[in-house]
Amino acid sequence: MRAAMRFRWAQALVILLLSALVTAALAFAPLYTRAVDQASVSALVEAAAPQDAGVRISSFSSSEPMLAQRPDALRSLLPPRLAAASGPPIASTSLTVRRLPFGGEPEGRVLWRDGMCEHVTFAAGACPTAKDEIAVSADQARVYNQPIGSKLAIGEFDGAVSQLEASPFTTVRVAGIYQPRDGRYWFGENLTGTAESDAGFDTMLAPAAFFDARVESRQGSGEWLELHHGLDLPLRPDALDADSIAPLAATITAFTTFPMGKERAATHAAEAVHVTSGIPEIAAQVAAGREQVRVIVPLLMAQLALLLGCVLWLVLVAAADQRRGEVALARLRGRGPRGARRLLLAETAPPIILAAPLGLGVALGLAALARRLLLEGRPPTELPLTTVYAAGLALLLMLALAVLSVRRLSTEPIADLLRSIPARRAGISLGVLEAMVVAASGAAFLALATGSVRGPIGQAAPILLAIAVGLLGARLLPAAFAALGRALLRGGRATPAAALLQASRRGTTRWLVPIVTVALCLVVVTADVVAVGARNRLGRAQVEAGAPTVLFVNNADLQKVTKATRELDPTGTALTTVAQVTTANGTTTMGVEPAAYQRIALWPDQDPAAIAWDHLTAPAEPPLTLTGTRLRVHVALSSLEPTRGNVAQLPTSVALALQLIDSTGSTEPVTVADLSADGADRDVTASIPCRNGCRVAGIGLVAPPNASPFHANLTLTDLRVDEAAVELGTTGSWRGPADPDTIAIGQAAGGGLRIELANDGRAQTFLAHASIPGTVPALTTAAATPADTAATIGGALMSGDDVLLTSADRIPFAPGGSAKVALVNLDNLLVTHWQGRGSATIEVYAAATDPADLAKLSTALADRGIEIRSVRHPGEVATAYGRTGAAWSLALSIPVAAIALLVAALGIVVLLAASWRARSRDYAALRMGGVSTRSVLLISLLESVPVVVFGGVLGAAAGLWSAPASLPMIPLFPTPPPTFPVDLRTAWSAALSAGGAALVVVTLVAALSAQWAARRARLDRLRDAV
Amino acid sequence: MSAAQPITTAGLVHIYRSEGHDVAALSGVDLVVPAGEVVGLLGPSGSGKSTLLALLAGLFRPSAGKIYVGERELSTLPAKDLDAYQAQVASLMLQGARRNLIPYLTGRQNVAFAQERARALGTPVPEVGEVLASVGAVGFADDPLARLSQGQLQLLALAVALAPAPGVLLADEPTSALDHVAREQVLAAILAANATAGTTVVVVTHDPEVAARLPRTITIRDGRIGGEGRSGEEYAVITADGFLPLPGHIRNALPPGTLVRIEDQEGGYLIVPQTAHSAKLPDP
Repeated sequence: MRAAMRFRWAQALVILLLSALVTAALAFAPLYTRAVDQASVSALVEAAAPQDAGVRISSFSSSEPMLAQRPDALRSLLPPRLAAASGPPIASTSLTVRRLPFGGEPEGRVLWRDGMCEHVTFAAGACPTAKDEIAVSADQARVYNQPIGSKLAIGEFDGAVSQLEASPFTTVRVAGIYQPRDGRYWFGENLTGTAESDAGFDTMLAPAAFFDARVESRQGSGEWLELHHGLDLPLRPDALDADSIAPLAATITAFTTFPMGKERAATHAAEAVHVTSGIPEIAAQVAAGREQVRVIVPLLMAQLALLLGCVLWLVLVAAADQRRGEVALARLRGRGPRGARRLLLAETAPPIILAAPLGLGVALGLAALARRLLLEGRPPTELPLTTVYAAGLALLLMLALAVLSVRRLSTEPIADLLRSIPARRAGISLGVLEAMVVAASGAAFLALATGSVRGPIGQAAPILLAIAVGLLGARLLPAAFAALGRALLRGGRATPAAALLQASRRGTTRWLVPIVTVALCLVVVTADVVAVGARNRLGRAQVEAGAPTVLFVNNADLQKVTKATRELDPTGTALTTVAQVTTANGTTTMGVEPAAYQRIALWPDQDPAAIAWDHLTAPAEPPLTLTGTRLRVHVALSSLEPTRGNVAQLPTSVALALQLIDSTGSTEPVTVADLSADGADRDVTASIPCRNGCRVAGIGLVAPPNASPFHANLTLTDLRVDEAAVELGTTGSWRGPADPDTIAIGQAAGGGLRIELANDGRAQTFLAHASIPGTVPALTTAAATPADTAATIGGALMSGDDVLLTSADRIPFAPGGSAKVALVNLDNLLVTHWQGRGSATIEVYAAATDPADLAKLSTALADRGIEIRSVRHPGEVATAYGRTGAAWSLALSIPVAAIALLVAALGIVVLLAASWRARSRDYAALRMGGVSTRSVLLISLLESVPVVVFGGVLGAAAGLWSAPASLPMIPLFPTPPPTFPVDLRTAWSAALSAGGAALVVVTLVAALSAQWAARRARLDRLRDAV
Repeated sequence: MSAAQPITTAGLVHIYRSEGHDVAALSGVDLVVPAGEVVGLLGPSGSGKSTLLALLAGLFRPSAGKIYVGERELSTLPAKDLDAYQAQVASLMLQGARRNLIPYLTGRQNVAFAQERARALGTPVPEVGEVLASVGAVGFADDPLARLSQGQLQLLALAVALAPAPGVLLADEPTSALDHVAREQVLAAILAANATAGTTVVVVTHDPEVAARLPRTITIRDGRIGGEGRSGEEYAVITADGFLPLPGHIRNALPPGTLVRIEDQEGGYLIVPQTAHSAKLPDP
């Protein structure tokens, strides 16, 4: 056996390598699947916000504060599995306070968190330790002038405090000024960001004793009322792996549903405990990804194994054929078919058996390489039992192939074995096995292409088609070559005719065509799938990111941001501001500057110019702004006249009121003066809360409830705020209610406003300022207005207040927005609310991506008082999608295609090498017959290259044709994109480039192999035939 | 070691198919080779002598007729028994030395390989060295085959054929493509095997010099036995159905259609060709 293997060492090596590759292909699938599983868990956990990657337990009650569970009590609720999986829990207690004396004073939160002082940097002072000490943020210390040692009177002011008199309060001393750090420790708590824009206090850090201390109230001493207790559980990384995440998620889900157990589920105490975690969602994503990976990877590797198996089969058959003489001798010496099989298997089986551990090693090496180069999250090295089973299965299959490959030869009559060239079947008829394979492959492809079978298994469709057409092509090609060769011969073109006729009778043609067809199909489809996947990942990322660069400037002033971006880029080609606020029904009102948004936002595969941007209008009237605290205006009111009904129920007086929107977005009616129903003509004065500026939303009269309808004339002139004159505007500056009969607006002499109004029985009759939008026109996504355009839907202003939107047209998606989006003109949001608060987000979309440009932009914004909190690029989002099981599975197809091409090249070499003696003998005969060396070389090329090119073109065509049927069944994302329309059109350039390159490779290999045989066409080869 | 076996064929016919036509390779061969005899099969290419040798070796079964080797009738022998026959009784030496040798084994290993099956079946076989010595191949028995001359290879091929100590040695052109010295060595070895072990030997040859060294030759012509030579004398052989194939040199003088008269003579018969005048034609 060793002598035999030494004699044909190259052949043994090829069998060993191919067998090792087959084993590796099959064993790699479970290894990679497992590694992807682990990497998915790591990637999702790492990408998740700290509070999502852990578990938060909080307890508070506005109605019954005593029910709030303290951290120690919360700790006792932990299920054992969760307790075992978590690191040291972080306890916390917090309280919402406002600076005394409450009215209009900034609000903030006092927080104690276990070990907090180790996770901030003290710019001044030290960690507060006494019950009356706090640490404030550097922004708060600067904006509110709270240096070390300064004192601050604060009181509890939240839902639990119903009466001001009951409010507990205390005085604290600033002991430290901190800067936050260690984001993951804080579990998503935003300690700072509010104070810097003078919108309130940042989080103030206090020792635990602060919350237990007795505090004062106007009713005597007491204690804090609505304490929020919390327990944050960071989960240990080793407790979160592919095996443990699902049971842990189930435990957390049960704990979330019944935090105090099922027995106490309905108690008030249980209602005061809340558990949140992103782990169940992560576990669901892992499970969904696993389903995809467990189909894609094995199928991909099975295709490769199939191709490798075909080539291995060829090598085994060729190896057996080379041993015809030895088999004949064995049979002649009485060994019989069984002995002949043993003789052959003694040579071919050992490399296959040796290849099993080698292939397993290769698979382990490849998995290690994949873990290092492709996967993220450092998945651990593992050897799942399924890998060993797969290697065992590969060994069994290959041994079965080896037995099958020698079966025919071992039973062949000895006399036939002694023939120097075995007899071959002629004609184009298919063998039974081939016919079965063609029929099965064709039927399976049709089932997939017609949608009878769905799912990721659809990726097998192209290779099934390739097998069918490859086998059919291999049968048709020799007949076509023979016919063409004869025609050329009749035309006197001897050289190509000889080549084609030779090719038509070579047995290698039968194998070359399907192998090259399958390999090229795999290459083309892989290139297409990978390119389509990358294109869609980028497209989805572009849509979800919104712009080449998105700068998040939350907690900033919308007006200030918009002013800054308009200053920095007056043309709106490089910068634009986008504000988003989501309503309770999930619809996001997205304020944009239409022209700039159209230009800067990313619209993959869409033409933004086709969108009806001109529908996005905003009031053209500039806002009427009052800045000051004392308002004076001259009022002339006619006596109230009854419109209908009982005159006796006419109000005796009415109030002149203004609707003012303060800088926080709150709209409040302010009574300016009470006016007698008999009429008035005098100056009136009133206090207005507009030190920081207010905008007038409306002006009108407020009558007592149930008063009879009346009409009156009201004239307002000489409006002054803090004695500064304010123009009330023209008639166009005001807008009446929908019913035009109720209010008529006119210009008063001297620049005032004359209003003829009829209250129509309503208590309040207001004239709206034209700068305040009424119903805002919007461009909506289908999810926002599923019924139709022209629908009126509820939107939200920056404050979260409702606003009516009218869908003017549909948009396919809104870059940077969610699925349910209503795009409105940003100016609508600017007039109603100009400081970003609440759930609104403010972003700057930038066309620039160059870090230097972005640094300049960042500096320019900072100069205008705008701090960039975070930056988002489409590439980062696309990278995140590249870290999913689906993407990792598809990425595997690239090396698979490369190996397929390599194997096809090896198959070509093996096939041409196996027939090289016969070829070189034929060429020698031609040379002896006077054919020139050049012509022999040409014949050798014409004999091999067209076969390979035919197979290649057939495979590429099969790939291009079948890829569209296959692509919809291949999951490109772990979850379908909510807005981005997946584009599965063939990536022609990638597919054709890959196909072309692969065709060049196999053609070159075939040409070189053919020439190698032709150069060995020495005349002494003819002696072999004697 | 198998005892020498007699060979008998009766009405042996073998037809094969070539390019859609049936071709009769043998058309009724009746042959008797006593045990321990050395017989040469002669005849032109395509006459059927190699086919006859292959049939005797059990490579394929005859279309009709019987083949007896010892007590065995080969045409109906089950496949398993045929394997045993090939392992123990009849050893075929193929034309072309290399075709008899496993290329990656040495001569010694090849001989051992050829003995394995016979040994497994319980047939006593000589030592490998003994076999090699019997053909004079000990000196190069351990060399790689690629280094050996054609004559050395042929001696090894003979050693392989003799390895299981067969009762019948069937050798197809054992001396072709050999120089004079090698031919003598091979022939001597074959005859020595016959002399020492009593092996029945059937040799196919084109070489008249080799034929001249054999005690009995049988000429196959057109699938039939066309003549026989014994100790330098040529004889025609009457077939089972009474036909008399004429020796070659006479056939040229008596073309097909020639009328002859067979006249009784003392101690024999006289064949007299008839001209058109001398032949008696039937009355009209």
